Amino acid sequence: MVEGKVIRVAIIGNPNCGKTCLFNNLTGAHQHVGNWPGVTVEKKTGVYEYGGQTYEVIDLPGTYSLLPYSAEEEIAERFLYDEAPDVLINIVDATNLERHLMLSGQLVGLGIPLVLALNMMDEAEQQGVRIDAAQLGQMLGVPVVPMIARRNKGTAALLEAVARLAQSGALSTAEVNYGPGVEEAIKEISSRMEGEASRIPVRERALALLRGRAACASDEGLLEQAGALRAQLERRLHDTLENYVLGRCYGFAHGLARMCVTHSTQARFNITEKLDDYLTHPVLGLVFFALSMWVTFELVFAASAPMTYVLELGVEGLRGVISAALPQGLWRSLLADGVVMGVGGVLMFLPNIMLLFLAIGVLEDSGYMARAAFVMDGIMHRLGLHGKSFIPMLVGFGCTVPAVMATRTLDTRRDRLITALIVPFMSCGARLPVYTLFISAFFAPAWHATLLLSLYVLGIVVAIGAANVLGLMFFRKDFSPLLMELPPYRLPTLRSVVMLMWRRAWMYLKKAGTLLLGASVAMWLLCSFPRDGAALADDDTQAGVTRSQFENSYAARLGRTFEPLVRPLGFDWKVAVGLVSGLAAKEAVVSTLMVVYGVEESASGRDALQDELRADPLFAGKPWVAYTLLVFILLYVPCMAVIVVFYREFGAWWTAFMTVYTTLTAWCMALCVRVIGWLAGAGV
Amino acid sequence: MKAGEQAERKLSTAQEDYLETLLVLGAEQGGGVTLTELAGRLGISAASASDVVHRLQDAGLVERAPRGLIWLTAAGAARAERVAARHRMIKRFFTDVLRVPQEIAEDDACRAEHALHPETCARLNDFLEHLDADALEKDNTVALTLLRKGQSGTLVRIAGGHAVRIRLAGLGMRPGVHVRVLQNSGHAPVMVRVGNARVAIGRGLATRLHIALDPAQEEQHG
Repeated sequence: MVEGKVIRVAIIGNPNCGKTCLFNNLTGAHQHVGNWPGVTVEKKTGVYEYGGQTYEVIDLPGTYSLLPYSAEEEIAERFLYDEAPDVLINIVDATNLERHLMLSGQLVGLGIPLVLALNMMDEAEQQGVRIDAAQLGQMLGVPVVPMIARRNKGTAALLEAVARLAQSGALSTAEVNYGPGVEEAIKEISSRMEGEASRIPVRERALALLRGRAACASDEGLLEQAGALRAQLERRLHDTLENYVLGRCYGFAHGLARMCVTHSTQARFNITEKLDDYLTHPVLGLVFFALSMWVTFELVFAASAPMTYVLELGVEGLRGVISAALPQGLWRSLLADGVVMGVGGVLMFLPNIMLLFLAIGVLEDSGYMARAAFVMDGIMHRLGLHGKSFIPMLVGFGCTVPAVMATRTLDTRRDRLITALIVPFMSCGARLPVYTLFISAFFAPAWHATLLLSLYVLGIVVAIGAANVLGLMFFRKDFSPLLMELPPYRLPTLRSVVMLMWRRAWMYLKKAGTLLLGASVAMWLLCSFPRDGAALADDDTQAGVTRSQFENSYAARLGRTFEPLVRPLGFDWKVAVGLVSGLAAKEAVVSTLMVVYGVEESASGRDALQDELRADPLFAGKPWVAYTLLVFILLYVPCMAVIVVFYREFGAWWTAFMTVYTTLTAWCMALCVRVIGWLAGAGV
Repeated sequence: MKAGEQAERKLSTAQEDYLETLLVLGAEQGGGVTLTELAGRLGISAASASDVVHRLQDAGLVERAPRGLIWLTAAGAARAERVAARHRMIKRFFTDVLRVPQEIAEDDACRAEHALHPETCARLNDFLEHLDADALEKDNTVALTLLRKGQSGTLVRIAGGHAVRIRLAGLGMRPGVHVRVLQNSGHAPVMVRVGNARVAIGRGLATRLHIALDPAQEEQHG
């Protein structure tokens, strides 16, 4: 091994067997460990030092086999073929060893030094499963390290095994016997591949070629020969080659397990199945589901109130300090009106986000999230969706950005796209400050909860309608059936739950700190310029003057340009400016309106803004206009961050489509709401 | 042939039922059928039956002999035979593959035979012909969806879907594996224990998993 070279170590294993947890143990990376299959959807890397050597760790997405079925498995398969790591850690679940060893069977032939991390030894012991690790290591021809990743046990032994393997480069001596027909075909192809220089053993390449991986063929003739051989084989086997090969891997795993695993005959109390009797019960399951969602929402929206209050005081204090410290003028206005007010509005909302992700973390880590998808699948299926679609939709109530990313847990492009396209209708947390601002400004307290709930429900209803229309329009045929593993129930670990919470809060803050601050300052600029000489020399912070100056600003002009478009909905240019700024982030609507209405020093900016809104003839005595506006804000294109993420996942065409169709939907629905209000005689 | 196919498609549900009934009655009575007999078997009034018979007459599928007896023409008999064959095929699919009780299968086949596109019928026919008749009769498997909570058995066969078979195999669901049903109700997916893992399978897919019940349970639950 050359000194100074970074050794690349990849971790591979089935979803939910502790891969991400092991990754964290090795690298100390701040990363979420969840209990939901497919939490690791992206390639994650980290670095650690051991014995003076630097190692780079790659956490591969969870995969059941190297015959790709989902996007995650494709990533893992391609990585192993194209970017050979120096060492491969195959993490397996000791409580269900046979199934996990099937993947190992596909890994031993890859020509990469392999170490088997035998995880969840504690749970296996509790369930009366005994594994002869030494025997397993001997039969598999690789080092085997028993461990408990959740408690960070066995990590040192694994580090040592990886280091030794990197030194020796020893390959496994075991190989899967693919049966007479396939073995002959492999030999035939191999004989024509001899002499080709490649890291991957010729046997594996020959098999890959038989399976139709054209990249492994050196010439056309060979590819053709492989195709012919495959057709011949499949006729003989009465099966597809993949399925047959997988069957042989299964046999390989079965043989290993029979030799190395003993089950105690004593029947054990299975807590997971006892709990599932109730939690996935057709009736009780739904009751519990509703209850857990209710608790989640109570936690997020009620428990955060005191924290929000404290933050509010802090922002006011900061604003006071700035106003006192700086002389009257442009800079003071920028800092106090643009920066502090903009970001202040964002911070107010931080407690909500943290509590939401605390709840989601607990749901995921405990294993309940998969049950939620299970009990919801029957309903979701009839709505043209997948049980798994529920998770991105639920996450969508927190923030649309991770929700769009979470669609990767779905297996087919159809399900991913449809779910991602309707996720923006789930009312994200950033929309909440806008709702509360308007609802508490225009409606009696008794109505607050009902109106707020109605917006969330409307979003869900529109999403369901959209899912069906989209499904019919674009994806008539390929509906993939639900097929998922339900992880055992576990007590969530404080560490991973808090980590998730901090990560999400940090992401939100980063977004707030950059995008929102930018948007807020940009809006302030648009609102403050062009300025006439008098205003520059004698900047008056009296609302009246600021407003008269505002009427002349770029923002007002921009708003007037868009006004004809929103006029049919009953909005004016001030609202149009707010909506445009909502593109930066929906919560920015509030801070923009503050600038637009020239809200200044007061006990609370929000209260002052509410007074201004109530005084505005557009809304005065016409609460229904405010509600129409909220419907529009609920449904129109979400923030720029969502557009960016969507573009990365689905490309330009679908991003453009998403942007246009959400906004059109918003416009139509807002018009409907306005008409309904008009028919019902509400003030419009 | 082309023209014939078009003519076949034009027949309404009622017309097909008439042809089928005429075929059955003709076989039972060995000759022509009166309008009253036909109407009686179909459960409608003679007046309304007459209308449809006229139209079938125009289509050249039936003829009315003196004394008002109705006969199927050669073309009509062939057509009726095809309708009846389709009925039997659909019913067989319901009873043999889906294991639907006889009466329900009969009722549903009556309705479905008119609704299915000829293409679907052709595929269904192919499917049934290629089905190993022995396998259906002997191995005594049932669809996973028919197992109740707590029942267990061996997965014998997975019908269809190469990709889905690969995924099922990844989750440990391969022919020969032993499964126990943990939840199965309503519209929710079926939850099974396989090995030491719990797997949720959508109902559509679950009907394609053929299970041989454990002997002890067959006795227990009949």
